[in-house]
Amino acid sequence: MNKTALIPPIMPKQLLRRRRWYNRLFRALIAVAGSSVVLMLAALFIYLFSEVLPLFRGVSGSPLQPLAATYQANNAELPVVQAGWPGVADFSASSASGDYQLLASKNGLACLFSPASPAGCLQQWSLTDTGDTLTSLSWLTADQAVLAGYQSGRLQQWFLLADNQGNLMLRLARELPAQPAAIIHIAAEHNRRGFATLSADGQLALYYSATAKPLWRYATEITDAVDLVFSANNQILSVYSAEQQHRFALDNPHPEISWQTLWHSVWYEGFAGPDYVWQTSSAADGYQPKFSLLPLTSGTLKAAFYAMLFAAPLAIMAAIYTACFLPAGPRRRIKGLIELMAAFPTVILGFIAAVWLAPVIENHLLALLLWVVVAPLSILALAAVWPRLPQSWQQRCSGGAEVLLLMVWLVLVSNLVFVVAGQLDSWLFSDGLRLYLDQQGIYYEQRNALIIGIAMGFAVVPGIYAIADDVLHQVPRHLTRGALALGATPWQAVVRISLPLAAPGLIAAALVGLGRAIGETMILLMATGNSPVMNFNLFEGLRSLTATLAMELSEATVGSSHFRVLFVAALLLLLFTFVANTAAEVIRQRLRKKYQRL
Amino acid sequence: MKTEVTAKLEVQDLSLRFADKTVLQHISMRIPEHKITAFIGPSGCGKSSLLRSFNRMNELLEDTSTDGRVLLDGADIYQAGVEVAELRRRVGIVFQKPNPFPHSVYENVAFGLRLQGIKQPRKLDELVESALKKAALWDEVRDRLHHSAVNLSGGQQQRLVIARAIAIEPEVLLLDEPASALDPISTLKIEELMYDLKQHYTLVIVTHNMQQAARVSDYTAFLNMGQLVEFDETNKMFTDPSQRATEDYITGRFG
Repeated sequence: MNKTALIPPIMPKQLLRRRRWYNRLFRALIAVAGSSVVLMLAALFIYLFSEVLPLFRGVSGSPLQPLAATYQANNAELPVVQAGWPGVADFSASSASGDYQLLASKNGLACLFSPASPAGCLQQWSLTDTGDTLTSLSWLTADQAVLAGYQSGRLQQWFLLADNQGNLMLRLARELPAQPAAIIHIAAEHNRRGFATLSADGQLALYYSATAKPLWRYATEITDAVDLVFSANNQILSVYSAEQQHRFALDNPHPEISWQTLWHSVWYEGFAGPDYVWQTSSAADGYQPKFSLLPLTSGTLKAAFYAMLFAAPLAIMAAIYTACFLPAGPRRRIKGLIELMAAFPTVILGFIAAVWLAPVIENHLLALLLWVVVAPLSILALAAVWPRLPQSWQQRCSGGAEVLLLMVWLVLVSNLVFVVAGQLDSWLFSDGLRLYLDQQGIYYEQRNALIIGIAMGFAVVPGIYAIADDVLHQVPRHLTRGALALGATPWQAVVRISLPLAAPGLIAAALVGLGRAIGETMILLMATGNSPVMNFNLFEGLRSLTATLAMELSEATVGSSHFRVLFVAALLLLLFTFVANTAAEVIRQRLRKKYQRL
Repeated sequence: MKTEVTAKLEVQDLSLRFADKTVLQHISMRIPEHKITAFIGPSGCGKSSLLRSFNRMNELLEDTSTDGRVLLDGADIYQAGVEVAELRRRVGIVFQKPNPFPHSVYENVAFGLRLQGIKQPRKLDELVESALKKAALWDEVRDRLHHSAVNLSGGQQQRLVIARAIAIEPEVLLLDEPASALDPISTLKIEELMYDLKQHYTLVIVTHNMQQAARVSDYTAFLNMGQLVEFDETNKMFTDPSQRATEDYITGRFG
């Protein structure tokens, strides 16, 4: 080796080997890191799915070895036939708490009374008007519903509801699909709304109160059954015949969840009719949890819709202004400033919206509604007056200074609007607009979709703006220049060339904003009121999937139906945001290719 | 210059600066009507900038300042209150790289017409057809008027852009190296086209190609370092230039 050369002509073997080794090591490390990110994403999905799947698994049941047991009938007291009731007490059913008792005769004549104050029937009516014969009668748990089975195989569910005068009475809630044979026994589950029936041909069926379809069926050979009973944990169903106890082990952890209860309207106990309800817990033990995801989904979509209504036009118009009309310097500064908005903690936005914005808007509702109309008109008015202003004015206010003039003008107009609205409010409506709306049946909540539209819109603007500005700025210059060369005004060049070309990109920008609005949590949690109502009223609150997850996941028992339904909500959210963002990305890729071809 | 020629454009003491760089210095010249005037000169001499100052396209770049006057039919186009869009309708421009809009052939030509508020389909059809015929493109595209213009060949695209520019009947047509990105056959077609267009329009062309300037133009201006060195009839310029620099450039000694 030449000793004078600073760099040896051939790299030493050792160095070569070390370099190759480093190369391999870091390539492996990067590969591991990259694939573990993908794996983690996959694991997230798999975990969510694994928590959700048990909800939709069917009920399974298997017969156990029958026990020899002599059935001992409850030596219940003979029911007292109520005075003035013409029926014969063939059937008697007492509610779980003992507060209500129902007597019925085979022809369907029924009397509801309260043993505590047995002063005649609370309600006296006929369960059936088709001449069918009543064969079984049972209360469901928690005093709210009665089941009646008939000779023809019909099965009815009656709810205890208060009428207009506040009198309690049983009302027919639903007629379940008839079974082929007479229903001779009905047993109610403990602490939840399931029940089982046994028909004359030995057919067992397991139901849940909110779903019409049986969850489980089993054909037995038992024809001499005398009673049907659930064990205390609802996991064993026993059919008693004279000498034997036939037992069936049931695996039915989540009867209250099905596609129907999640997405369709369900007539729950205590309600006047079918409805979409999300109400997962209450103080009472015997409470029937209600898991309709529709109010939450619609709440999320409602909030996103109003936020987009506020944010998309603002962000896109801002992007048109900076990308198509501003020189590079101011554009860069404004873009930086707007993108800085994205770093604003949303908890502060939610806090400001709930504590300051909501009461202010409540007090100045008319002013705000007026402003929405007047502000754009006033800008147009200024634009119309502009060419008629003296030349010296125009020159002094060009090159960016016209924006300042516009700001001053807007502040003036806004002040005027607020003063005029204050006068108008007391002049037009004797008690103010808010009370007037109440009288018109438009319910106004202080924390409503309007607040959310503004607060969440504010959070969504930067994301939409950044992409919209990019795609508009990337419109090939030679095309806009070509339009200008043909005598187009700058505005015409934007409307006829830039906007049509960038339109897919603008849609992508809006989709990204939508994804963000759907996934937003803190602002919704703080400023919506979190009432799970289902409407699109601008002045009412909402409850979103995200806020529900934030609030309820900590209080749901691990593994319970409630817990798993929250995972369904989480999956739904992931799906929404995934679809929105993927669609946006696909559109942007295609647009990029299109730009390259021009 | 002969006196019977009327000047369509008159440049008076025009100077142009981009940011802190002087691009044109005190240029004065008269561009004759219904003739082809060619601007030649080495790269960066300011010939394209001079061309673009005739319809104020330089203003689209940032930080430009223009001094002096450019008169179009005797009226200064840099005066306050001049409607720039209308000026650009009267003085059309075609760039070096063809820039058809990503619309159909038909819509490309109709673009400027629609800007002028022409909406009746029959009238549009007529004007589009006549513009494409004037640009010698009609026979090639008559069957695919409603296909995308982006799929045309480079030469066809450039003639389409010319058709688009002449559809709105400009008085002056500025051509900024219109054939430099094209093959020889397309170049020939463009040159023939310019010859036809001369009867209706005043043409100003920037070119790198000395033969092209000699072939098509009636007058030639030689610019160097932002200054107008010589401006005369093409024949005279190419046979007997009065300036040494012009001769050096034309004969290929520099540039």
